[in-house]
Amino acid sequence: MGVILMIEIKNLTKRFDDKTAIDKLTSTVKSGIICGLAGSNGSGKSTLLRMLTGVYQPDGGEILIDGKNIFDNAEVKSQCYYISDYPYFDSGDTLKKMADFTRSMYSNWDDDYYRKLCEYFPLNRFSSIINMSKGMQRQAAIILAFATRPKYIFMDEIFDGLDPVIRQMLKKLIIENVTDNGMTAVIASHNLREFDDICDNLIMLHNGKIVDNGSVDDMKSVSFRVQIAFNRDVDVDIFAGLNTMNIMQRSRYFSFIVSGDEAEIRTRLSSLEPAFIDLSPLTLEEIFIKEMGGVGYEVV
Amino acid sequence: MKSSKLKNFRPILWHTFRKNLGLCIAYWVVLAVFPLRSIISVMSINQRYATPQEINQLKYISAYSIDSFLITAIALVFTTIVGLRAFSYLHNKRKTDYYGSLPISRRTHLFSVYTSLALMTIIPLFLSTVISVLSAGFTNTVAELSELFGIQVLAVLGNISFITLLSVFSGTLVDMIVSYSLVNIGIPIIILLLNVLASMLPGSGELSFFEYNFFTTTPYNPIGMEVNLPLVTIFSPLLAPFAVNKMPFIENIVSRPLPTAPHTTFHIIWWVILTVGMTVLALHLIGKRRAEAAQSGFAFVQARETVKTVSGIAGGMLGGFIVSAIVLDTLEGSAFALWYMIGFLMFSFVIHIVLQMVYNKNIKGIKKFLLNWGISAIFGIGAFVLIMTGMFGYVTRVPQASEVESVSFVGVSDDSINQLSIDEYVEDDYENDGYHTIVMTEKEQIKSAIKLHENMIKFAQEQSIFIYQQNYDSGNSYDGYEDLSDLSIIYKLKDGSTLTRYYTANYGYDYAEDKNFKDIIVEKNISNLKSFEYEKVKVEIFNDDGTCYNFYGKDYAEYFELDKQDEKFVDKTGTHLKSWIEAVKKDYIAKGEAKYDDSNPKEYISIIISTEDSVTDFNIDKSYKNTLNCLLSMKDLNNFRRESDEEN
Repeated sequence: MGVILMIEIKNLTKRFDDKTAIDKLTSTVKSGIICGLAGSNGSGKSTLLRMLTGVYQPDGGEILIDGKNIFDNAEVKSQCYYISDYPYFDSGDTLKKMADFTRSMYSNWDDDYYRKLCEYFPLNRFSSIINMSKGMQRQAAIILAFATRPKYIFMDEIFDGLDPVIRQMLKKLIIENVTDNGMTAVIASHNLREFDDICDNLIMLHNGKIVDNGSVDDMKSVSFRVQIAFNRDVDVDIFAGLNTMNIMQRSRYFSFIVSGDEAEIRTRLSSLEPAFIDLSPLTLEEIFIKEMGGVGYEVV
Repeated sequence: MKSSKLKNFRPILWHTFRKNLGLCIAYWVVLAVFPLRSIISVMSINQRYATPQEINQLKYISAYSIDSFLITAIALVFTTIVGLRAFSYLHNKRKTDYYGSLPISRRTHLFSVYTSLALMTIIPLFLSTVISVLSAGFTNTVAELSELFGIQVLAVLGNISFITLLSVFSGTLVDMIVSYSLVNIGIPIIILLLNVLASMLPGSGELSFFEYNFFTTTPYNPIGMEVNLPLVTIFSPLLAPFAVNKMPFIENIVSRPLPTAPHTTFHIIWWVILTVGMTVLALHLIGKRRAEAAQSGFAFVQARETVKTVSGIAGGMLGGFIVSAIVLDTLEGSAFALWYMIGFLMFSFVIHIVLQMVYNKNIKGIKKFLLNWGISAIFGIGAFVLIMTGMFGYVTRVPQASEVESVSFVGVSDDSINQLSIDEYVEDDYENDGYHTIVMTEKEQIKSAIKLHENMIKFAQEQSIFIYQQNYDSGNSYDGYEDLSDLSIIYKLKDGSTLTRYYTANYGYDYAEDKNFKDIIVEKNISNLKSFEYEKVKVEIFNDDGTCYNFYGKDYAEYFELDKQDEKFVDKTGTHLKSWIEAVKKDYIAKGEAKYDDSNPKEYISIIISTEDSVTDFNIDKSYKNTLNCLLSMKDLNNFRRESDEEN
């Protein structure tokens, strides 16, 4: 029987004193995809990442990577790399020194790829990293991470501090590694615009619980932004029966979010004989706001 | 095949070393100064054209005088500083994220850092020792310096293990430093102050530092209670190495060579066990440690509460003494107990508040706070009450006569015990100078000794309502009891054990006036008089007017050098001396010790009879008719003199 290549999160719980940061969370992340981890502030994204990388020990449940528990498991960890929201570098650390250390720790270290990455990201290998800008420190962490050729890479707020060019390069790098090497990437961020063009899957968290979890395409295929106008006076009740949210009315013009099957929604709206109708998929940010509204965390 | 359990042990070992390379270089440079100094000294010795023996001796001194204290202290400070840095991966969130995700098990990581720290401290120590040994000509110092190196290695490992364990317990660097300091200082304070309290008990004697036994006697100090430094530093890795009496540093302080006593061996064994124990515990707990404790709080709150309790007790005890000393003139009686307790509660409360702020950063959880303070109070005040109410019968313990093989009274010279008794100097005069001993083996004498001891305890019970205490004001130790000396009672029991009780003169019991003590002295003197070989004695007779008569047994000169002029006072036939001592015996047995009468000093004659190994010292008066008559008859022989006449 072959090993299942994926991340399995089973009934995961993490508590800090009286606060439950992750509450009986269950999910799976298939191998070879890019999974976004979004959530409200304090929702448990970073905590979940720390447990996924074996930094924190769960108080309940377990995390299996390729069928093996990651906590305190050097073998599994050697296939993973974690870039935290504030990558750690000591005073005196240069990219060269850190590469030497990382090379000695990770058996999959790829020297050729390391050199290539150093060309992608223009950093001085012999300068002290701690004296570099926040974005350059992240680039150093990215070089070290990808040079280990990880099977699983976990990144926390990785796009913070990167300029648009480097952001695009990073996205390209992630996609290349996922498509060419079967790498799985889990990226935690509150900036969902960055997820829009790279994430295959999205896990949304609020108060340590999953609000939504699934493929980005599926999420986008069930929620739409509707802009509709009538050439007669109509009441908002006209949309009764549709699963609508955030209805905004300006005279005979309405804008709202609606969930459901696209064809069915179109048929229903057409039957209302509007003068104008536009049905477009939601952005991930809009989906996020919509989902959070569903759990009582909404824009007032 | 590479063991997966030890995967990445070596990279972390080197990584830790490289991260601390700067400090390592500084440490090595400082350490190199000592053997360098030794080499320069040895080179200068060779230029003096001394004899080979002198050169060896000087080489030995030179190599051995490399300050073991300084080197050990430097090594410990180095391990502490580097240890705090090296284990900070457990206390800093960013480091925890980075190192926690590395492909290495927590135990391997911890052990790797531990090993790295040990190697970077011990290797320079080893090299320093080797250079010192070689510079002194190898054989001169190899044994001593190897032993010293062994102790230093143990000290370093003990300190690293302690730091490792505390690192696992602690969540922040501040917690770590505070806890390290408190445990290293707090526990010694508690044990020291418990010793001080115990020394207040009748029978316990006075405290003396830099000795190596506790509630026992040593050849160096046959009386009194001594602070056991290995015991005081039993949980203090920073101080413990300096309590090992093989340290030349300690020998310098006490100004004499120290033997390897059994407790030293115990001390070393204890630290080996503790070092291994702390390491194993740290390796066990690191697997269970909550990484999120970094920059937050203690990973194991039990450790934090223990440190708080220990510090509360130490601070409280210190406070008890400080407040008592401020309020009272002397630390005695119920007033001392009351002010001690008030001081204890005040200081331990303040310590708990401060530690609550340091560790918890708030004063929430008043119930838990009060509980912790209460635990400190129960331990601290409980120990005080237990000790001061007799320490589980310590004060009132007197053995049965049937249990006792012999009893010894040991007193300090030039006091009552010297005036009243026979003093039996034990063989090694160097070690026992100043102490006089009466050893009792006869059944009746033992019974009298026990009775005397019981009277002393009864005296203690009559002095205080609920606590036992001898006057602690050592500044007035003999005030009012000028005629009394400190008295140590040592029971040698039939089961091979020894029971020692030591009463200072200021304890206040006038044992010299106790009938039992007098009986013992008389019995002992009579026993001694009976056993004299007349040919080997020297007799000195002192009148209260300052005149003195000496005469000697015919063989006395074989044992003691006599001045030419004194040879005429030797009883060559031995008959006069024999008849005189027989007369003394007869009078002494019939009348006992003559009591000195201040109002009529002319009636009082003091007699000292010395032999090779004893001195008999007693008084006679006019009622000693046989003795006086015999003296008069000896005068006819003209072989004694009036010294005061000759001086004039």
